[in-house]
Amino acid sequence: MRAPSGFRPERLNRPDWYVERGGEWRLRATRCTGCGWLTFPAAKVCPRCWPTPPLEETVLPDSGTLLSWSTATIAPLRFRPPYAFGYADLTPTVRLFGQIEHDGDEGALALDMRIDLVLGVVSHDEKGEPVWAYKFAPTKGGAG
Amino acid sequence: MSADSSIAIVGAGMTRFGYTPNRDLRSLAHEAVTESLLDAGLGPRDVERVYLGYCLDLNGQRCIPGQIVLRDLGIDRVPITRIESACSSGSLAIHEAFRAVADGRAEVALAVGLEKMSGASADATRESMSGGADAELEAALGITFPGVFGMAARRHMHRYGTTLDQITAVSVKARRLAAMNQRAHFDTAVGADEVMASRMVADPLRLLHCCPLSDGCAAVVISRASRARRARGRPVMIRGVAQLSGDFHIPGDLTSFPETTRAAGLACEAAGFGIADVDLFEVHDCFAIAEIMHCEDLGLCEPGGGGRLLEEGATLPGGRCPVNPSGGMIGKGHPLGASGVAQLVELTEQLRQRSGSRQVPGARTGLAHCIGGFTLGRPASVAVTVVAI
Repeated sequence: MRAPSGFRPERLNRPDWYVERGGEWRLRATRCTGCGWLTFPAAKVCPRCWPTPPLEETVLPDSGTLLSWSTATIAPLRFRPPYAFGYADLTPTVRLFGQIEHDGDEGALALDMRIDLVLGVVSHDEKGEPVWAYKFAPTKGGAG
Repeated sequence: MSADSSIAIVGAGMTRFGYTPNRDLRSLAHEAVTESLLDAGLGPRDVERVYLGYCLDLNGQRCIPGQIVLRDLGIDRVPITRIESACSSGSLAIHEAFRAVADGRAEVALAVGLEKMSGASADATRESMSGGADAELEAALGITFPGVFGMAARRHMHRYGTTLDQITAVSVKARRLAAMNQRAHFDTAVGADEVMASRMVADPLRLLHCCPLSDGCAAVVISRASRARRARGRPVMIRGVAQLSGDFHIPGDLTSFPETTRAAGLACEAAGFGIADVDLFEVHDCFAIAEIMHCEDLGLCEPGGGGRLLEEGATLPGGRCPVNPSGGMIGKGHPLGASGVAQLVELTEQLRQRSGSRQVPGARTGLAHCIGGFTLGRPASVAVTVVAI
């Protein structure tokens, strides 16, 4: 995930979920050194091999497949509906919920399309300050 | 768990569900609990244990709601336990009351489901509702519950060719039956055109594809049948109960909740009969697509066949497998904590052949199915209760 203009890392929803390497932001996860199970957010133990062996730090893929999507026209005040959102599968076992950036064209969205993770504003706190988090955006040239 | 066949719902009561900003929690609870005790031929001092399903905390009574609302009914000096499991809170209250009688901790246990959703601000209600998902991975990122089922509807339509007309027909059926139910939130039927003219809430779901936010209370008295000899109606035996959390490590594809299949299997196994032997179903139709999914997961038809099952009339009170004769959550209303108990009030009355124009002819067995919360494509809790007369 490239930092867009105006991005403020201290305004991320959970700064500890993210890691930046050379201007590229990724989501921190853990992988079981025994069975390879991937967990996000980073965990202390593997749900399959508990309580050993140890987990190693890794990052999630920064793209995935859109399982389905809908549009919120009613939402709590900290959000600014309407906005599109969906579930995306980054691996066969890691699914994320996220808002979808689609440049105002919902027609660009399709089930099973490829999406990239991007950084964007998801809500505003009680002072009106933006809260940033990962979102989804259709992969350029990746429809279907 | 296996059911002692002599443990029964011996009394049932509920308020009308609806928008009642001038009624408080106490008033709702007193009406439903009093009705259930009178129905059982028992009094407040007979109650040895209470389980309360209560979920959203929208009314300022964040702690000890059970003790507060039951105090002036004369139910005190007994264990009162509040259970929270989102929309399945009431179902679990029934399961715990059943278990308390089964293992001898109480001769008479009361299960109460209660919720008041009017009165709080729309924003407080919406924030509170999103608490049924993962607070950080979903709610903080903007999930809404209509949206969850909007996604499920889109996936189901994509995979199976389910049509929006079929989804709309769930709401039309629900409202038609609710109009025959004096305790339903809605007392008018609607046509498909009216459903499709209602405003979009979570594409493709419109307002009338969604259950309303309701106030209400439902209560059932559970004991051995022999303990309630003066009951007004026949005892309805609780034959099997099962609750499961979601299979969170298998993401699933949003068109099916295998947890429903497993929980129903466990409850039916305890009951000693199969799904095909169940005469009617109350299922968790929080949104219209959900009833179609649950029919498939319960095995009432093949995967993807839920829409056609409805179109054929099989799920009407006179059909092959009647579903939600009460009007379901879409028609009867959905006070979250109360709904699981209200399902059993409906089954009790149906099995006693007291449901009037909504009666499932000759019904002797019933199954209630309730889900609570939802995260990353999986229901957080699925509760199934099987009863027989």
